[in-house]
Amino acid sequence: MRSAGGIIPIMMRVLSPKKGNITIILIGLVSVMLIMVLGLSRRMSSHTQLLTLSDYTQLSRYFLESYAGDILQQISLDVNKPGSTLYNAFRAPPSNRALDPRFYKQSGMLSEMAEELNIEIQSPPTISFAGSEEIGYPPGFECPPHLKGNEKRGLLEIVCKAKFYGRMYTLRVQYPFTVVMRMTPVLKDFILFADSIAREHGESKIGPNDNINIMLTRDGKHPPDFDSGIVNHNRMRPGNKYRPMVMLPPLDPVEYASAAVSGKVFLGPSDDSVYLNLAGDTREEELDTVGQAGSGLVSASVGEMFLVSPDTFKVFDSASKYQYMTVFQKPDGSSVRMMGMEVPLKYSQLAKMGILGFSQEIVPQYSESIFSGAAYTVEHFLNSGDNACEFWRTLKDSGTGYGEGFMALASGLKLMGLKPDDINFGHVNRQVFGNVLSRFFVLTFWWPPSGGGVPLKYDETRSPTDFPTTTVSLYDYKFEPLYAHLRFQDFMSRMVSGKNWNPRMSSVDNLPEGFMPFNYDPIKSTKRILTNADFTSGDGFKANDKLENLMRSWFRVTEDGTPQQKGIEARVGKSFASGQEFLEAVGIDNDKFMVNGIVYVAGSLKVPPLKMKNENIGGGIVLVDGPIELDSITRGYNLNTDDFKLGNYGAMLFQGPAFDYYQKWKTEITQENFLTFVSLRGDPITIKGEALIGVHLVNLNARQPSPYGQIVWGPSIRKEIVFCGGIACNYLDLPDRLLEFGQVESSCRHLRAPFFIYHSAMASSQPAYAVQMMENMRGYMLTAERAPGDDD
Amino acid sequence: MIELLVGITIFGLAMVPLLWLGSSTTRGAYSVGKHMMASQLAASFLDSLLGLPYKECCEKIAELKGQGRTGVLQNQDLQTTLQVVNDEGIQSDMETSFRYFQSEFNFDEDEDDRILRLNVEIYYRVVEGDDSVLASVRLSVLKFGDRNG
Repeated sequence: MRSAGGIIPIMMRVLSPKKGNITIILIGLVSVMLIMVLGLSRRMSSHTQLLTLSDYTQLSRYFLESYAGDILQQISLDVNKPGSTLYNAFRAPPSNRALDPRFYKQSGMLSEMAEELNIEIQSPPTISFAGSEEIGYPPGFECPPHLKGNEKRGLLEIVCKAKFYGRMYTLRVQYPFTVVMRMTPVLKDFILFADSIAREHGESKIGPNDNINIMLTRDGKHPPDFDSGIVNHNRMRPGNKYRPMVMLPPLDPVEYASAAVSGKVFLGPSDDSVYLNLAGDTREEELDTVGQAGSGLVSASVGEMFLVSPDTFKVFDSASKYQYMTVFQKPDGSSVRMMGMEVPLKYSQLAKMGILGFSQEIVPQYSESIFSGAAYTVEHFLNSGDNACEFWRTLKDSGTGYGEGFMALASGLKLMGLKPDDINFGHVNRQVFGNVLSRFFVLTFWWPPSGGGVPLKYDETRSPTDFPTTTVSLYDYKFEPLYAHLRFQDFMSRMVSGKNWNPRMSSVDNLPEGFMPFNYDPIKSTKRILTNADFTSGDGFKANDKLENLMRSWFRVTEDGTPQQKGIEARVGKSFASGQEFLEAVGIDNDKFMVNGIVYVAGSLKVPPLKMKNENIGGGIVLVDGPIELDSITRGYNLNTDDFKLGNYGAMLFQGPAFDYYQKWKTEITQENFLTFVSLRGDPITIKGEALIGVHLVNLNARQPSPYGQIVWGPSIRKEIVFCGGIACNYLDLPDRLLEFGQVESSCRHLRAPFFIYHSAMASSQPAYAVQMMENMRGYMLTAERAPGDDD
Repeated sequence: MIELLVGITIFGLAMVPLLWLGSSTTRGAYSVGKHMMASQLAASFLDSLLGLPYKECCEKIAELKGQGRTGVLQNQDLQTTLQVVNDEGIQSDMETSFRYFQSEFNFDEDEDDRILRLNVEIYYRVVEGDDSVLASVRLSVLKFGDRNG
């Protein structure tokens, strides 16, 4: 415009009446047009330059994103490999420090792309942590100080540079990451966590609707077929085969004696009580007395009276020992014998207290009952009508009672495994949480010196000092205890835990008399109900709320738009649209199963047999929003579960094939490769393989208020079931589970039940963590500058 | 009169290069617009592929590759986008603008390392009415799958 402005005054000055005006005008016009075209051309040229720059930037952008992706892939590859630099760096205390980039090796495809585009990669990239914060816990979880901050979320900043046509392009990008526990805190310490199992009791907690105490017991065994002929249970069908659910003690002497690593049990809810009928065995001494090796020709007893230690009763001292003895005699002179103890009384008199578990031999209607032909049966000891205890009345009341046949049914759930066969190991040290009570019978018979004994009948309301008297051949005898503090109720016959106790009405510390908590501390020799306040996990976590509440809030799934919880939801690293997508991502096609964190799977999940070795399994938690089907998980162990057996009688637990396997698993399977499968909305977890090793199954969000099958063993299982890990659910729905177990032939003559074993790695004092790298970029910044030493 | 004739001649002669230059500039401006549109299209195709899970991305690019060079308006994702716009005017403008654009997809995969190279090339006409002269924009990017240790 400046040059055009100069021409116009010249033209005005030159225009005159003289000739040559047109030429001048034309020259002027042409000049103006020339200038306009030159201007346009220059503008186009700058457009083209801008376009070129835009193209270069576009190419560089995609290249640098590929470069950053390459780095991220290699971080993800190494960050969960124990011992690697990255493994340690991400698990170190949080700080904004740089990461040594030497782990990074440029991938071949990136180099090819650089060469093709003529881009010069600037190595090494700069990688650093850019802030992190602790991931909190829902209310009730008390994280120990030494673990605080270990679970965290943060940002990893990657700065990568490339030189392209004289310009240096820099991409600065941040990737979020989280460090989370590979297993569920608190829950992982339990071999069995059934937080609503009390509902399986039915209203009466005994009888045909009680679906916990359902295992027919006879001759110290659970007969394979349910064929008592004297009991009609609503769910247990005559002719069907059932096997109990036995939580075996650890197959390792050290773990056996340690409450921390033996696998805890919780039977809930915390405001209801659970009664387990202890199985009885009235056979001879060597079969049901702790420490007696027996002949070795007999199978181990399923009797559980070993759980009733003498210190349960006030009339015995701690040094007392049970003996197999005659409690009273039949009219024909034969004896009614059972396990028990003699209690000396004043004036050289004697009371004999026998203890009996639930077994067909004590049902009077059974032709081979121990009371057959006797003057007294259980009824003569337990009283009748209003004077009898609640549960006994429920069975015995004429007309409305369920019948004495239910005395043949013991618990289908055995929390302490089989009777210890070696006295040196004593009682397994396993903590049982919840209001779990042992139910069994005590029959006391008073033997005055001149014969003519008297049963000490149950009578809770009788005056404590009102001891019985009897007259034999004109002599009056009085029952008088040796010690004045002992009351009639301490001696009387009874069904222990024989009435319904409502924990909502009285605290567990004030458990009324006549109940025996199932939990036993063999070191302190005390029986006590354990609550969440008594809980400390192997890694130091404590529970400041009811255990069921704790887990409910941990696994709560929030609806869209509501604030996210601090539990599992805040820890999810990746989501998959389908089970198939998940399986591909964990590397199933490459014989790997790398979960490495906490992942969410929408829809159902079918997991094929996982036979890959431990090192090819990356532990983590799989949250499934649908039904789960699991085949065997054998982790490279050549395991034929039909060969799975306990040792010979006398050394069942700490010898034999099962022991040998566990010794391997114990060290080779760690939390780093433990797998947890969670059914998020109560859909069933169906097990279709016989062996699940190193697995935690969780189904704690019941889809209905009544019991149903949440963890189910499929009909395709034909070999012995071996499960090493933990189970957490609301309901077991035991009748169906025991029927499923009953379809399989036992592999071991001692344990006629599936093998449920806890794995001590679950209760490790040092929890394992997984690092989860997210691919969603943040803080994205692409810059370009003239490359040093380059002229454009 | 002679002067007028000479003037017109000079003007005419001077206008020839000027008109040529003008036309070339207009063509250039048209081409720049098309190039930018092609570049945006290529980027959006790549971004949509990058947003897919690895396996789906493999399947999708294989399918697109199999289609060869096709008009971009035949691309299902673009069609879906146009339907979402739900404005006849905009749809018609877009269809007019993109009617001579063509896309071609290609890929390479390193199966061991689970790296997928995605290539997208968008072709456009340099001269609207002439389909013999085509220019193109080509973009490439790498997509990474989980390697699972």
